[in-house]
Amino acid sequence: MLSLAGSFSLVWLLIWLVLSCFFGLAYPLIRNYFRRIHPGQGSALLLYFWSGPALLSLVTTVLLFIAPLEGLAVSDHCHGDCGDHVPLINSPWLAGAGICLLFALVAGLAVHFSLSLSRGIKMRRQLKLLTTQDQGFQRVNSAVAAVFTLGWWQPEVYVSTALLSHCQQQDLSVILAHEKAHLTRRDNLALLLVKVFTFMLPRRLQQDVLADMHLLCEQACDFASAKRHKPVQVAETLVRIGRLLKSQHTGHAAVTTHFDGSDLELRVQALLDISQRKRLAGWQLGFLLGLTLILLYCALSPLHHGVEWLIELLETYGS
Amino acid sequence: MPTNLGELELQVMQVLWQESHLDAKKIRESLQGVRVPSLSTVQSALERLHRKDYVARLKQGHAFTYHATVSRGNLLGRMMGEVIQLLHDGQMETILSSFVQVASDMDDVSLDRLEQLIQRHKHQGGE
Repeated sequence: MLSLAGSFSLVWLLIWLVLSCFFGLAYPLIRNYFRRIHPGQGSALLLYFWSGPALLSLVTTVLLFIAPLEGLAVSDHCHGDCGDHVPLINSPWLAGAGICLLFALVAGLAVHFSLSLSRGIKMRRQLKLLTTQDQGFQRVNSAVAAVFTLGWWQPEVYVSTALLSHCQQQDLSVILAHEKAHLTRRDNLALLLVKVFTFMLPRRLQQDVLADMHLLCEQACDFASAKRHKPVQVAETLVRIGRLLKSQHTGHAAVTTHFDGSDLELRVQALLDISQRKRLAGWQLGFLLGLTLILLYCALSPLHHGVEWLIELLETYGS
Repeated sequence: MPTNLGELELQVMQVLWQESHLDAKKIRESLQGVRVPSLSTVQSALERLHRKDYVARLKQGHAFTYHATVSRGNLLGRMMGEVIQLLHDGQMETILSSFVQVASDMDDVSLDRLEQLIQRHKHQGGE
């Protein structure tokens, strides 16, 4: 049992790591492709793409551990008795290391996100007591101009009175339509998932992926808002609110450090060229899905042999 | 001064913003909600608020009376500052997001250029 659990954990993590490297190398080549299609679809595809290393490695590992697949997906081969087999680790310390690694990983991620969640919940409780419910948002009676969404599963929109006093009715309507789109799309949750799926990447690349996801989500919500208002109106609101927030935060040493300055510019440009961001047709999506399944099937045999070779190598050097 | 006040601490502050110079017993009576905390819980919350410099107290007879030293607007302003800081450093980017992220290198010239771009688009009939 220890051998099976340890082998499963280690194999899953190894394949996840290898696939993360592979996806990380391929990402710069296809990055612009996500930015050329409709952002609603682009953000969904980006999430699916980055869920690839984690989910494909899990599926592949499960398939690798189903013995009767040999001959069907994995080429016939023998290890002495020529019976059905799965790539098991015989060394107890190596199997133990696999379980420990997986446990440390799950625990680390759980602690990291629990801390963030508890901070968010605490902040939300505080704000709930100090704000008043308005039509579709929480009104924050503050002299600081701010508009933000807080929460993962059921996020709430907060707008400060200072911001309300500086913007027109149309701006507020654009903002609320934009924020409502975030709520329906559960963008904060999608960002969280991308963060989890990309944790094996180097930090710089992970930041790039998160910035891309953030941009696509914002653009998708801008487009959703532009369905109710004209795209130009949404673009004007973005610049107006951007200017208001900028003028207020001139005292800060760094207004925004984790996203580059092109975010607002790219959003405005996307809105002005809204007709050029087309959705992929059904057959194109079907083709991508089919290709993924074929690649997965073709990868099973080499992965099985690769994993067996790796286990043998680790056991030889470990003993 | 920290803004990480607990739920009860905030409820106590709300009572003190409405009426000043109350003792723990009167604050407890003014607390609204399904579950009213015990007197000692309220006293503990007041002690914490006093340590955090959110309330000041005066000894009157055997008991202390409390008054808020931080206004509601002031506390909200600080909380907004904290939210903005969190938005800026991206620590909680998956749980907290702003309508517009204004980058440090986005100056007035860049914003002017964007406005001109929008105006040009309007004139070209792209609206």
